[in-house]
Amino acid sequence: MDKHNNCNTGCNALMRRIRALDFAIQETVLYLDAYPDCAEALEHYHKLVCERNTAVAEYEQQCGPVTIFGNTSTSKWQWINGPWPWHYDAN
Amino acid sequence: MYIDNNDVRTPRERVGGELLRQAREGDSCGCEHRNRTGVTRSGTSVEDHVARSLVNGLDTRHSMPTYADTDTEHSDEHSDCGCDGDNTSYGGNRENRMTRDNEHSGCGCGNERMTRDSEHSGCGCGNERMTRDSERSGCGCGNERMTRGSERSGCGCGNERMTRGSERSGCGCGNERMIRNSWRSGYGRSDYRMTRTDTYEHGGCGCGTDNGSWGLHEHPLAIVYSPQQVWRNVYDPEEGMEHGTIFAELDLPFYGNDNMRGGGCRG
Amino acid sequence: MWIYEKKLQYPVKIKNCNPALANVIISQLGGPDGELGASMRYLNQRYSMPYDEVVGILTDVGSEELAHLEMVAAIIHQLTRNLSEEDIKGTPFAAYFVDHTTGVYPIAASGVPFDAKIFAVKGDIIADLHEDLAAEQKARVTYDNILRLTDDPDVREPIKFLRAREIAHYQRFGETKRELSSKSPNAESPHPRNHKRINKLSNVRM
Repeated sequence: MDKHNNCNTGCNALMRRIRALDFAIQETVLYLDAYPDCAEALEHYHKLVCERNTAVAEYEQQCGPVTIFGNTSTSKWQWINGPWPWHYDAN
Repeated sequence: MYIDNNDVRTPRERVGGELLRQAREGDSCGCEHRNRTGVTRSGTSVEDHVARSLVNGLDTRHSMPTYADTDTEHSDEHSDCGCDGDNTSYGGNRENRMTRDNEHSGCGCGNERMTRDSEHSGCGCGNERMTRDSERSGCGCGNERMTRGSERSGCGCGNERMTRGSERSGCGCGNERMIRNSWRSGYGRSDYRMTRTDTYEHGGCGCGTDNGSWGLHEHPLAIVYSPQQVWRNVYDPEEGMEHGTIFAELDLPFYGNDNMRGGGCRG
Repeated sequence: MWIYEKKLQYPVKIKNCNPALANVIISQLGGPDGELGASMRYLNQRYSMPYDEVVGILTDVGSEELAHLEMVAAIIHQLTRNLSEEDIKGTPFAAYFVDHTTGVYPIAASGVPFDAKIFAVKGDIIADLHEDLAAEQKARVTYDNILRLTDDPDVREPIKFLRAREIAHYQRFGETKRELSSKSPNAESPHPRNHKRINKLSNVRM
């Protein structure tokens, strides 16, 4: 997809933000698995998830689906579009 | 008793003064007995006590309650003299004299001289001399001398001297001396000085502290010990990506080929 | 079940091909301490765990290891794309190439294919968590070794990320084991505070 090659704005920047938020959420989730009663961690989790959902919605509207649930086009099946995550151009 | 008609003191003052003179000249403070070791009450002065006793026609020498070594109760309203049986006079050797500024003095605090500024003094705090600035001093905080600037001092915080600038100090925060005044907290590294953000109200404790688990000193055999991690300020998401973790205390980079000594090709 | 996200957990963008390096890094794909073994270990151990906290950790770390598996595969793929014959002939990669071309196959650097024997599912919480702690350290050592073998920053960055994850996982398993110890003390060392001795180390009723 051409949108992925637009380095400074658009899809690459949005994907970078989603990756960072997802990683922070993953770390917080693992911490909460070990400390389920930690109020600070839970608050942090909700803050991150809220921001993450917004970023993903924006990405899926502009660039393409992140999961199989994110196909926003009604005229075209986007999911199979390259590049795929392990390709040089996708990163 | 000699009474000087030119003496303008009240009878109470006269009697008290006379008794004080007697006490200073070698008598005990009026108790004739050993140190009291039990609970005391607020003291009016010895003079007042003796004066009252005189007025009531009691023998001054025995007007003070007698205290056995193990007597821990005082029926008398006024606290004891606090003088040991070595004929220490009231105004003389103050080695073991106790000074009490307030009503409730703690007992069972060992044989050390105690100075108390606050109302609630802790007992069972070992044999160290304690200085307390705040109202609620913690007990069971080991044998270290503690200085507390804040109201809630933590107990069970190991043996390090603690300085706290914030209200809620963390407990179970290991043995590092903690200084809190900036945003970045760290934990669990021997060379890592901990700092806390001003806006981060809940410093350190509550998340990851043991609730019913064993402390390090109580840990049984044959069970590996893993310290608990405390939730502190975490990296921003992007910064976390760079470090591979959002927790500064888990950020332990690889520094090179040190581990190859003895196994590698270098001499 | 699993939902796939169309992104790598950490980006892999390697400019220069290096099949010899790929031959080494492939151990983190199918080797004894690699990500496939890690994910299979944790995801299979969780089925017999009697405590929710332990199941949670094993599920979430196991799923993350699948994401790491994908990252290692991406590294292998990008190190071996656009190869000429001269890049392959006479290198250690030639033996792999003859069987797999530039496909990505879970195998160790020694040439031993992935085998379930590299991990254990003992069905006992204490044994399994200790296995997991050891696995994280062994994976961390393997990443240390990879960092010793390459100077390419494009390769070093994702490898350093993966290494840092092993340390974080190690801490989490340690905490899980410790919490677990307060519920199910070692039979030889009951703690006096644990009046209600719960000996639920497995789901076997005996």
